[in-house]
Amino acid sequence: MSSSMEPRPLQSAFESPTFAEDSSIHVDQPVGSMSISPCGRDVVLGSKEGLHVIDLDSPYSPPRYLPHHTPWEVADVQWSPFASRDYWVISTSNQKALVWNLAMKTWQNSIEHVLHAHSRAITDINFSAFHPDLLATCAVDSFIHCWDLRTPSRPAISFSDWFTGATQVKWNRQDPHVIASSHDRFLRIWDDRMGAYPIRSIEAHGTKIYGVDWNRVRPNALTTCSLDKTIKFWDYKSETDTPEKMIRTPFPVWRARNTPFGWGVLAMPQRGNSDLHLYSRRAGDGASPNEDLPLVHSFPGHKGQVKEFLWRSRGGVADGVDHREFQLVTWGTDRELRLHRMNPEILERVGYEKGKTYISNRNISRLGAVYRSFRDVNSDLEVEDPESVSSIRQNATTQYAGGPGMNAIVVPHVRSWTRGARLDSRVGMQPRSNLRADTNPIAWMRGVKISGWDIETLGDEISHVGDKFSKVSFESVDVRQRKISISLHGPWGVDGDSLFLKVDIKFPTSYPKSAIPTFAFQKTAAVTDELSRRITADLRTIAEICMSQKRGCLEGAVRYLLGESSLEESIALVLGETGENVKSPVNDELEGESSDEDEVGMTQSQELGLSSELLRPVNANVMVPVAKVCGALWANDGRLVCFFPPKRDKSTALFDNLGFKEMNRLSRSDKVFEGTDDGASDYSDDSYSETSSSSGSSDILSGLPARFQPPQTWRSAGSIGIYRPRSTNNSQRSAGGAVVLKPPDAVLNFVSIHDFSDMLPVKRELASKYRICGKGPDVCAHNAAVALDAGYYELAQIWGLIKLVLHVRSTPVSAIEAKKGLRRAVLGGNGLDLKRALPNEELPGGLASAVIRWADHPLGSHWLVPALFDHFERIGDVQMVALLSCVLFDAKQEIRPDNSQEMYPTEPAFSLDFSSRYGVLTTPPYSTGTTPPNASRPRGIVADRKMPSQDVSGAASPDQPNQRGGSGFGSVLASSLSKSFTFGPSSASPPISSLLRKKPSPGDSPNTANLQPMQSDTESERLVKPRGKSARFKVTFKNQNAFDGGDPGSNSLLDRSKEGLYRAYRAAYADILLMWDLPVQQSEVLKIGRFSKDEATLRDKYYGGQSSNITSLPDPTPMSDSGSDIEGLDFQRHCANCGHALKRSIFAAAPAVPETPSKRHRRKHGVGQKEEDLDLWQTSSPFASLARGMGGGLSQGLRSKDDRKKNRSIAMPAAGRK
Amino acid sequence: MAAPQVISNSGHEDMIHDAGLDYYGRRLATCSSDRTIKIFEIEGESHRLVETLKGHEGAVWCVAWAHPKFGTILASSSYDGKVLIWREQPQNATSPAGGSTWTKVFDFSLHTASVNMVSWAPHESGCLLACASSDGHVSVLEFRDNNWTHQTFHAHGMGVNSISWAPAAFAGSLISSTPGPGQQRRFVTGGSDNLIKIWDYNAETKTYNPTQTLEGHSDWVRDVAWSPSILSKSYIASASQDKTVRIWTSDASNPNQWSSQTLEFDTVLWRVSWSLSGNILAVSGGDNKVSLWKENLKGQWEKVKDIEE
Repeated sequence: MSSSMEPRPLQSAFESPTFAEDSSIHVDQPVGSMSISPCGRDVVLGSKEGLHVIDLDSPYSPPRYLPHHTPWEVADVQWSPFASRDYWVISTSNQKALVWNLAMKTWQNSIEHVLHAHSRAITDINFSAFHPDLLATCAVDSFIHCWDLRTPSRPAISFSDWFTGATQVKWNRQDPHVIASSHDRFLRIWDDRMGAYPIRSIEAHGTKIYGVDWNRVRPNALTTCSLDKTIKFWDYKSETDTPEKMIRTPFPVWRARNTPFGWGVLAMPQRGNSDLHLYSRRAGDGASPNEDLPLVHSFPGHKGQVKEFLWRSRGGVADGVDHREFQLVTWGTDRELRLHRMNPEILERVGYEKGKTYISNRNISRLGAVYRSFRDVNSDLEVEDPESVSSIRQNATTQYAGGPGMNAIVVPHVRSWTRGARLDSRVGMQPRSNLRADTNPIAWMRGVKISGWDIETLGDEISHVGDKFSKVSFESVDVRQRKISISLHGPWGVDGDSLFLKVDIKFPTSYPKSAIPTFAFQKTAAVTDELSRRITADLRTIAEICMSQKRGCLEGAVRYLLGESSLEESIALVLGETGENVKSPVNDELEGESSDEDEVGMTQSQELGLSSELLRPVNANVMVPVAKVCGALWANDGRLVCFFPPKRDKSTALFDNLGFKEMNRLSRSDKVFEGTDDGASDYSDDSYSETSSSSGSSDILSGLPARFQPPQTWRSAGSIGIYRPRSTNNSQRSAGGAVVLKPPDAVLNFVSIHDFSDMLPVKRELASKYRICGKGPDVCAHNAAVALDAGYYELAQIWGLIKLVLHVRSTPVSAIEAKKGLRRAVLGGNGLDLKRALPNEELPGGLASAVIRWADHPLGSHWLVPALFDHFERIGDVQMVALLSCVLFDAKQEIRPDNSQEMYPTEPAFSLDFSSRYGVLTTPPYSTGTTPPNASRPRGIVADRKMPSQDVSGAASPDQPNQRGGSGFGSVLASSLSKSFTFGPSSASPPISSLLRKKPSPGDSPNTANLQPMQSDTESERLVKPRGKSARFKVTFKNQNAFDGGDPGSNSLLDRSKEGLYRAYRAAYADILLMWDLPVQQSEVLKIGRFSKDEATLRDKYYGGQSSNITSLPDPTPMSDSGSDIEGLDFQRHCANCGHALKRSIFAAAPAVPETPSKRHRRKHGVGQKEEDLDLWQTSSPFASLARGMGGGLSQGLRSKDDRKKNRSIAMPAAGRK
Repeated sequence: MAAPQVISNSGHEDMIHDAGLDYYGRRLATCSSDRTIKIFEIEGESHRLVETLKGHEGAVWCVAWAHPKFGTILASSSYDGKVLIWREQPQNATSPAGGSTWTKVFDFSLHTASVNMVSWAPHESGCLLACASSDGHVSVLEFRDNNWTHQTFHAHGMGVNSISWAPAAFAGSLISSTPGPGQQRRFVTGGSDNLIKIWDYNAETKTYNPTQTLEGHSDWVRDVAWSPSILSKSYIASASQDKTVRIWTSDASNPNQWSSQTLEFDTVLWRVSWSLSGNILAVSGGDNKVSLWKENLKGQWEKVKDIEE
């Protein structure tokens, strides 16, 4: 057809499947400009992320992506129009122009030159129409530089207007020496032989000129357009300042260019209209010369402002006959690349008819361009001149701005260059995801719509399925070849294990109507032939069923492969499918996130009435909200961390000084940050565009508002979603700019830490002094004093109140030792019955309230306690609620040690009668296993017989006697204590004390000591278990019990049903204590109530599995142990878990051994069975030493006969002998 | 109140987007558009920059310290779509004075758009990190059995901006007569669809399911915060670009009934943060002011303090 267009082995434009179609391609990139390759097959989109080369003949293939991240809008990108230089693409990057060589293999070195002479942003690039190495750039700095790419280091010729920035530069199409540029309202014509002065200046418009275009035929004629809504036609040789012709448009004109055919002018509105308008340069027949030139046609299609348009042509001129055909390619702010099919009738109306004579003086540089795509990296082209290699290297460094080598490059205006460059790295808005998005064929394909293409159905199906199944990776998609390769994990392994499958699927051309695709599994070790045959057979079945319905089978096949539906289900789905409800049944059964999202997405888009393109979550970085630059976050300890952006007045002053006009824009976008949120209108005014260095950016911004204004929700969603992120960039840019400009130590952000702990109800100073364990009233008294000292009168009073409540309750308990022992004996006597009747916890409560039924009293659990909790909850005082629950919990279980020591020999007493300072140190785990078994065993055996276990608990510190309220007891204890001191070392204590010494303890002697008194204490109790006495008391308590029996649950001061909540309070408070570095207190709090069965289950409920599952990240550091586990007794840095677990397991698993006569008497006392078991066990089990080491054995080992005597002697008067 | 401790020279070369003190309040992590995270040692009134973490390829939006029982772990999320997990390892375990190194222990990059917020679950629930991304998905990473696993699910159509966990034992679960099975994992998300959603973990299906959708905001929800205080009421605060903060409360007796109170401001709002105790809410917004709010005994929210830089 055309002699000039040689039919290439691959294709010519006449084989192009898209040339004669309307189509659109969605490119979700911040594209600023577009250009077309000489052969018209590729278009290049210049975005802030780099270049995207799209093969228009293979629109389903994702573009080639050449990254070049920049915060600046790409003002212009130009593909060399010369067939001989069809690998060159020039794009702007602020004040630099990058010369890309697409023939180079990898993106690293594809920037061949960086043209850098402008000091401000480049606004336009234009190749000479005559010489393939010449091009011109113009910039906001008012310069026009002409470059010879053979010597790219500096401009060959420069012109300057000196006053106003240039918006456009264009080489004359007929005269290689003449260049036109536009500066504000002025059109200047330059001649490269005439030096620094324009050969002609025309004040062409009333407002800034945005478009200049030379006539393609007449050497002196050119066209300008402006926001003043006119397009004017000039002859620069004419003496007058009046245009030859003029078109008045209803919109401000952003660009108007002569069509490459006939006498058309295509005008692109700057705002207010998203169509392109084709005007004729010739008046209609019979029209008067004064009339406006006629509008021939409008090209609709874009939903946003059109940003760039170009013509794709094929065919050529042969023998003076014009055979060219055209297609219009447009890019809009809706991020659609559209291809508009040209109706010959329209062309006719601007004087073009295919096959007519051709005006011979037209200069076609594109002639003879090889019809090829640069989307695929060509290997047949080599870098021609060796020089460029060096420059490439340099440019490669510069491109990776922020690299250390960068600053060393000596280029004019290095400062601004570095500035831009470093910003580049700093702003950091370049997501890797772009690269990913580009390479994700599905995301890409989704955006491609081609009318009248059969392929579309397949492409649509693939992209639909690709959308839906996020777990399926589409490794390659070739719609033209009708084959795809997917990989996924499906339950095809042994026992339904997940198995990695890779499937190649080919779709015959008659698919889906009358053929099914072929499935080929890539073999791996796990994918056996047998398996792949089976799956293939099933897939074929599914595909055939689908074919019978004339439907695509890809979704069904993928579902099946993923194991989301069985073969039967898949078939049923296909057959029974009616519209939308397909998904739902499947959804529920499986993880099906992918299908969920679809539905969610859909309903939302419906609700909001947004078009789906705008809601598309993939590549959703457009949706990234504006960055937060100010914030306040609480730290755990009541400090508030605030961060603020730099003070604005400072920075704007800086900007002004430096005279950066862009900063106007930036500070304006700052307003978005400031939240003035003055809406979009601000952005569409002219001044914005003027200050805008990159003309491209402004029309995006100005285009959007018009669209987004009407509905309110729309506006907010739209403007924020799409347009604010841009403003984010801007202001970040401003910040970045500031960095460089300021001295290195400049203040940028303010981070301040405010201590507001005084505002919080939780006080560390109190926590460190509060006591948690001990006798309720004493604790309360102590805590009241602490609060008073610290000046918290309210708290002090409340502690006082609680003390009163508890005091009465605990009177009998703490009265005298004798009484206590007796009571226990009584309890023992009744214990069996009671225990059977009541849950363990109820028992002590019943007994406690036997004294005064505070639980029912309004000042007890009926009113006062809940009211207190309520109050502290309301003010959020975790400390008080936790402490209250501790103290009241203690109260509730006041007598429990007496009872439960039989049940759980070591633990309960431990949890209660535990001095806050030293008690912890006796924590059983430490001594576990470290006590030499030999040393303690013989003794232990003997001791155990008499006084089983229990003692560990006591942990009575020196002040224990006081708590117990024992009158003279203390002194006795003291003496026993001293005795034990001397005695201890001789038996088991040396290893223990040395062990203890290792702990972070207040001192050694208390450690040793506290083992002792506790022991004697309990021992005395233990020994004082006279039957006779117990009988006497039994009566009393029996009555009491009977009396209480009716409502056991109401006896405690705490609401049992809220036990879990109290536990949570304590856990929360314990957390705070840990954070305050008060591990002792933390352990105490955690200990409270841990050992009731109820609690144990609760604990399991809340924390179960946690310790076993999670410990720390790989290769744990010491730190990882430091956080004390909820398991509790550990305190920092000691792994108490194991010791703890051991202890529990030992007692829980205590073997049942036949009772021996020697214990029978004790049994009659109602002492728990376990105690006896323990005895036996301790004599028999090799683990007994461990247990003793943990507590029982420990204290027993320390026990001497003397002690026992002492104790007995104390106990005797009260309890009598057995 | 003592004068605030000011770190005026953070060393960041660009805007700071998040800052957080660790569990013990000894270290401060900040993150910035300069793609770095900086860690400061805070000792008394002094502070010292100890580390700069580089690894993100975009602005770092959020940092979050894990509970110390898991080690010294920091999670960060960025515009680049990645969530990175950093861990401090002492170079020499025996010498406490010896330096320590931060290493990136996990790189989660399955999100296809900016990850706007990350949040660690209460430590009782395990080592769980929830991530909110502009791609509309939420992912929950779990470290368990020496392995990172993740679950990703769709949450908000136009992007998820924020996420916050409920305390492990939140009010409703504690008081209800039938305690729920297993640990409670529950969190709240705020999205660009102006909605707030509450999610519950179903231990049987091992999935997170939305149980509540709170509507009320008329613009993007930028931040949500579930009050960490375990009280008989649950509190969720949400900050939105509609210039309001809403405080959602639900009573223990009726845990699925949320009612909200609205605090109005003059500016878009960015962050809300609850104090660990006392339920004081810190609100920050576009005017670069911070205010503290507290519920009075009548149940009304009052501003108790204003903070400006």
